[in-house]
Amino acid sequence: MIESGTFLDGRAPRNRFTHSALFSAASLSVIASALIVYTLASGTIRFFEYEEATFFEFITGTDWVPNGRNPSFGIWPLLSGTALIAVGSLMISIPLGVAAALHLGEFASPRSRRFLKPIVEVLSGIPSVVHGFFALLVISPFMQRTIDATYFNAASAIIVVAAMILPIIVSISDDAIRAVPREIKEAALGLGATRWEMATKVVLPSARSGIVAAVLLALARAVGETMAVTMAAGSVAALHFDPRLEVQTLTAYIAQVATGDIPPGPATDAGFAVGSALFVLTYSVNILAVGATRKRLGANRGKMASLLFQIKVKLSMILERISGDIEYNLTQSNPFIPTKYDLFRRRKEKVSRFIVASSLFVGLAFLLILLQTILETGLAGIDLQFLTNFPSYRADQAGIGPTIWGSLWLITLTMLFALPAGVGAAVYLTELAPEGILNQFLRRTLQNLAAVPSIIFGLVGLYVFSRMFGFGLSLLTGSLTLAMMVLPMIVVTTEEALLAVPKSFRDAALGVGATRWQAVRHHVLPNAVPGIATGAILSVARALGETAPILFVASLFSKTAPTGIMDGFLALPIQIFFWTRHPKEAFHDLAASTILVLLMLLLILNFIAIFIRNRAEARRSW
Amino acid sequence: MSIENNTISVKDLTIKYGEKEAIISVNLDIQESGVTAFIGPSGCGKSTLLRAFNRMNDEIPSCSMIGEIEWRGKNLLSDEIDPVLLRRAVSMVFQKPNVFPTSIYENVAFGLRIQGIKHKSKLDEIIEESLRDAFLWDEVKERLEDDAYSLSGGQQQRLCIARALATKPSILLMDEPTSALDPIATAKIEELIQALREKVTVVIVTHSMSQAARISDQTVFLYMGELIEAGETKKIFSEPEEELTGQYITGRFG
Repeated sequence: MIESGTFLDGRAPRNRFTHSALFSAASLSVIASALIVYTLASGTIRFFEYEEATFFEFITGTDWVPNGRNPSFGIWPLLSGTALIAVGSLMISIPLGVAAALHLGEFASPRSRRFLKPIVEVLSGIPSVVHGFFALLVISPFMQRTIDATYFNAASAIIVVAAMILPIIVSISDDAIRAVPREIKEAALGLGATRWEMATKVVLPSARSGIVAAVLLALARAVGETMAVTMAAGSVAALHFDPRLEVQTLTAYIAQVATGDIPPGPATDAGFAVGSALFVLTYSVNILAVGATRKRLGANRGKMASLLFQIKVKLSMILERISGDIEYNLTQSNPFIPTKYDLFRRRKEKVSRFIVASSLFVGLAFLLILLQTILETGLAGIDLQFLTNFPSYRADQAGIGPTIWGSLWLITLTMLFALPAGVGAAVYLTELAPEGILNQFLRRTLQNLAAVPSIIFGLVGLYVFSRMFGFGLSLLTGSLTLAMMVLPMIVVTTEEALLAVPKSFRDAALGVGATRWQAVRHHVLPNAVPGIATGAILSVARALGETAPILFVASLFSKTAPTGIMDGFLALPIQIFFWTRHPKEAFHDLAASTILVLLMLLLILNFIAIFIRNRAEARRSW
Repeated sequence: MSIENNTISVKDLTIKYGEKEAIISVNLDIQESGVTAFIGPSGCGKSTLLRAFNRMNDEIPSCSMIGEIEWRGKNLLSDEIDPVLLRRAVSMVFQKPNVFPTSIYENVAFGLRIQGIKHKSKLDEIIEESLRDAFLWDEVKERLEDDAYSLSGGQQQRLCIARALATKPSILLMDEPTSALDPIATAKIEELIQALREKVTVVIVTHSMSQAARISDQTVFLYMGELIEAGETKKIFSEPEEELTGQYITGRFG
């Protein structure tokens, strides 16, 4: 029975508790960001309190010798290593990626698109530690034979990092290319452009801000990439740009701190200062990328464009003077007889389209060789003993029993923390929060959090969860760290799922007097479950394959499976990392077997995600 | 009418999207001079027919064309015709002004540059001529390097016309060129079309019967993919032979 007055005077019940719970979830990203800044700042301050370290030397010095009696902390060798790998990998992946996106968007038939797109998706799903294995044990020997490279070398790292960032460039460029309006493409064709001319002269320039954003995001990823460069490029910081030699990146130095190869003292705390530099670097690139995405088609091009135009005019005038005058018939041309230039255009069209089409096959070849090597090396080693034994120091007895359990514990706990927080934050941001500065601020924070290199989360885990909160080297520390990392991913996928539910569902509920939360709870969330589940599973896959954030806190020598959240743990990617770096070759085979187990788990997770998505699409009645 | 050099003859043309027939065995002669208008209710196939003349239908994967379009002794639909070359001579202006996201100058230069003309003075010459022909020169001559999006909708459409004229086409196809424009901009385009008739054959699709009556010499009435009636505009609008045509032009359906 409704008492009279409940809805006449005062407000309807506002689900105060739910609101504040959801708001807290949305604020977690701010807390996470604050923890990152706090960790980096206090670690950096600690570092500069040592006598051996001065700020001036740090930002100008060209020697990075953290150990020994007379240490020196000049960051330039690490920066040059990072730049070498990032620029090198971009030089490979930009042409390949843009060409692949162009082929997918403009030339590929829908059927071949269905075949080609998964290559990119599979490539993006391969954990970086697997790329590291491939770089060190397959590409590096090849480089040693062909270009006289050393065992650790930048070249192999460059190749795998290129493969890692290729999917970023392809998928974001593809989106930008597909967003180019059909009308202007038709305009080009209608003026007698070939498809290649249309694609290069109209589509690419129209999509340029999206492509620039893609390149910048790829750059941020390449700069932040840790495992593959640590494994393949080595740990000698040297100021040079020779890809045949060993280099150390910013991330690789932090990883070196994590793996305990660095004595405590200034050398360890230098990891935090390097982390700060890395953070500032990736953050700035990310800001630039966001700026590039904001630029819309047809926005005023301003002074720069006008200047470029002037230069172009000058150039063409010079060109004209040099090359003399070509006769051009100003009367109507014959539409049936191609001129010499038309024949040249036809050849150019054919050759260019062939080249562009082959770009994706480079990715495919990479993928096939990688999988083939791993199957060849790893398949034989997988048996019951391997799956159940502990990681013994004797290769013939070693197994990954506790490691599998560690990984399962880890992802379960991670999702236990991240899923409610992520879904809550997404619900608050898309459904309940008023549009405004606060909402924008929370969104921006999430975006930035998503762009933080994974090794930096490792520093936070070590410093905040492990030391400050006293959780030690435990599952709890590891899963909280990973939860911070996957949080933005869950928020984004949940938001997409919520936004896919038609607005009319909400209006219908609000129209009969439901509060916003009631509308969301009963009419939006149930319909968004498949989308949320798909996103959650993909986040699990990400957490399962991630190495860098837990490099600091995993217990390498634990021989038993964890039994509680305060126990130490091992995880599959960590195991792969250490066995790959083991001097004995027998352990490399074990690493390959472990990779196979990890890839199988990832494959299963992806199949579940695809299954849920397809079933939901088939069942959806709206 | 017999096949002469100055006629575009459509012979038994059927155009399908997948299995659906959009144009059903149309026969039609278009004089290569003056303005021809295609009219008919939406979905009658008038745009589809227009897009056959410069093979723009080739760009729609599901679209297939059976029949012939004969012009200057060639069948435009045969495999030996390269649509890329054809479109230079049979240029097209679309429904929405579709300028490229570059400068005004580069928009007009596009069709010339892809033909390999790089010389600034030649380009300047043709671009000025084209912009003058499109009644746009005086409005933009001071700001040729400005972004094309800075123009108004009507100016953008005239820029598209200038762009199409730059390649010196023999035939200019216009697909409802004023449907996205206000009445004043529309009047300007209509005036422009009148001026163009001296230089180029115009085939225009229009949803507006009064527009067809105002600007065209010949009118072609299509209904549900079939050609109902074609002839001199004056005659079609004053004493149509078919009952359906009469009903349509008096606004009883469509």
